[in-house]
Amino acid sequence: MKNYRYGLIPMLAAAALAFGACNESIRTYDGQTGIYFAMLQSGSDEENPRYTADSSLPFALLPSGTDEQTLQLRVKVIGSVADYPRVFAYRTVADQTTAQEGHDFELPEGDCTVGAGEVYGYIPIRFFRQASLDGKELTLTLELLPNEYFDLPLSEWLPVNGTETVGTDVLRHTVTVSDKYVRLEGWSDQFYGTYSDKKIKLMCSVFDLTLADFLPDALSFIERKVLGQNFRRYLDEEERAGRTVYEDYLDEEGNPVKMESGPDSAE
Amino acid sequence: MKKSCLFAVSALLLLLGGCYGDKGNYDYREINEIAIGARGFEGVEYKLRSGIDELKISPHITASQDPELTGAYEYEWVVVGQVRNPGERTTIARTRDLDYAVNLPSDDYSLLLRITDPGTGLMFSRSTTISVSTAYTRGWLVAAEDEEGGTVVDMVSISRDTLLQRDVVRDDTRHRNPLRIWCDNNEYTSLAHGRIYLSTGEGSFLYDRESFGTDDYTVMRNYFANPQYLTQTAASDMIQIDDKFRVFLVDGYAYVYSISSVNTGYFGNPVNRYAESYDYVRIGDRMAYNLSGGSGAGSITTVMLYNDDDKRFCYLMRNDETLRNATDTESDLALFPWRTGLDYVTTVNSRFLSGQSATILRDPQTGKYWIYTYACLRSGPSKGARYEIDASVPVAEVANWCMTSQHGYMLYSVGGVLYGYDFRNARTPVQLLDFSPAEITQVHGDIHTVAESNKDCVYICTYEEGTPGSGRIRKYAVADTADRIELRADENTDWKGFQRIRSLWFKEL
Repeated sequence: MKNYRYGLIPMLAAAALAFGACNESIRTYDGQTGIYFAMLQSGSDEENPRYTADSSLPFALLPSGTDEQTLQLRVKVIGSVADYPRVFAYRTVADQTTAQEGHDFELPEGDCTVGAGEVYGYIPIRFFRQASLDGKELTLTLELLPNEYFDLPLSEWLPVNGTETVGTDVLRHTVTVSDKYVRLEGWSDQFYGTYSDKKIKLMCSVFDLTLADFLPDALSFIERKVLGQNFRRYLDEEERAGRTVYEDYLDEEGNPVKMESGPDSAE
Repeated sequence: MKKSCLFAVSALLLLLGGCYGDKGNYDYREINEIAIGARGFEGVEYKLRSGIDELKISPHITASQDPELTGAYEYEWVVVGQVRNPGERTTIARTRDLDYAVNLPSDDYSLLLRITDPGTGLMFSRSTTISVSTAYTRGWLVAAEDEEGGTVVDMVSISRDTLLQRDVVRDDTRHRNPLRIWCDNNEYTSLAHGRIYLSTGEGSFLYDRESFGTDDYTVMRNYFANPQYLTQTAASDMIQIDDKFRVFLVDGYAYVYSISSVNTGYFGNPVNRYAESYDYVRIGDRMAYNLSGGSGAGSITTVMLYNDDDKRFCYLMRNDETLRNATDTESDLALFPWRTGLDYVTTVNSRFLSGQSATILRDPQTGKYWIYTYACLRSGPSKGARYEIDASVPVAEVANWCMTSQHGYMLYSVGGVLYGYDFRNARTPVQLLDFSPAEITQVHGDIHTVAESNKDCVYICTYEEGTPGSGRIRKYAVADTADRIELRADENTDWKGFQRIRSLWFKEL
């Protein structure tokens, strides 16, 4: 009897599994209708999304002369699609916001909605490249709020196939806006000389470049060489015209440092 | 105690094993040995054209225990790439005799016949080498202009015999006003450098060297890191000295680049300026170079240009980003000063006196013309002499100039007449050939084809106005006569059916 019992248990389990397979209905979401921030991480896509709680808007990577940029902050509905537009609510989190509304950014005037038949809605935020942003970065944090259409049933988001154990905050989203230049991997000391914020900004302004042109694969070897040569020519011509360009910093003896291109930009 | 007994019994059994007599079979049996004879493998040179030739080999095979070859042997003919795709194996047949319509990329290959005897599992083989070219591998590229002004590129394909291939460039657009056709003849692992360059009045274009096809990299303008000096992107002259150093003259500017792992074929800023100034100088539309050093370690990377602003000779060497002025020395100043003060007309190159070039200049004061000869050497330019051109030469009407490769005569054409001019001996120019009413459209002194570097050959291209397809290429050899210039027609080289030929270039691979 003991032996029979050992055989009987797996058999019953298998039968249960087999019967289970006969149930063909797919269970749908029947919880609260909700909303959350759905900003994709770079490198992920809609097919296999990974969401982020932070976005950035670096003006230095945009074409020169770009003084205003609108960021579409996206939200996604959890629950069924409606055949009518639904307003969603949010607020600015003051203690996590250093940007000044009306000066550094503007939120949309009216209500933001998820359109009829849509699963996504947007908060279009206008950011301004003010002179005061030069060399700085500021933040704006928004938080979703419940209203008559949407609750907030999902506070953290974990990817379906991921290994993460800590979820992404999808109810608060922080946008960092900056106008800062940084030394990227594509910077060539050989052709451009020692990096400085002033130098890279000058190069962008003179040659109509953006910070993106200093990403590692943005320019070929010859294009970097040509840029270095053309920069040297610009600096020489400025000097000849009596407008010698200096760096912002002084040397060890307190003398101004003349801006120079790299050693391999010479003939 | 029990363990000790077990150990003792085991040891005893092992020792008893040593007493076992070896009853192995030591009667050796001869296997069926297969030998592939020399027929088809030795003493034959296979130069094959892909898509044209068939390769047939009926090997002599003997099997030591199967004289009738009745066994179910497995045959495999394999080619293994040697130069362009080394080690790449392709099975081309599985039959005893090879009857293969050649369809392979151009390369040198090792060809193997492998025979496996399934009875023993042993494999026997024999190999030979074959050289495969495509119909586009070797021969003359011909850029011509049709009656509508459009460019037609033909190829005179030369291998075992000569094939005239028409309109070979696979380009949807027929660009107008052909100027030059050129390709370099070096091997590259990357085909980005090994391309055919077609220069027209509407721009310059790069085509695949194997297929003449177009792709994303066809438009030459895209290869300029700084396109601000380009207008038409019309290349008037170009050369590659060794396997790296290239100089191109485009829209009146000179560009150089060295093929390297970091340069994938881009031209930088123009180089026709001096280090001490950012102002570009006007340069002549042809350059002087010396191919007598070959393309290897002995190559001569001095390329001479003419500064038509300062009216003087200047030059470039490998890795130069700016011009160098040719400088006079105390000993050579008597020959002529490099600063001539004269206007540029044209430059021609030869292999005469280990690679002499000549530049024709015009004196704006007197209207006289001069020939300046010099050689580009490894250390820089070296003066030859200067010669006043005979007043009978109508320089302004001359359509084509050419300095013969080995004798250094100047040939020139006016209309349909070809003249020879032994300027070094101050002889009066003589009429050599008259093709009238056809017009001479190109006189190409052959300084490039490696096989003929010791001969003095010139290709004369003619065309009858208003008669499409009347373009002809005839080859002449300059006879080795001391007292006169004499051209002897090569009877085997009279290629017909072209349009108005503007440029010729020999393609080696």
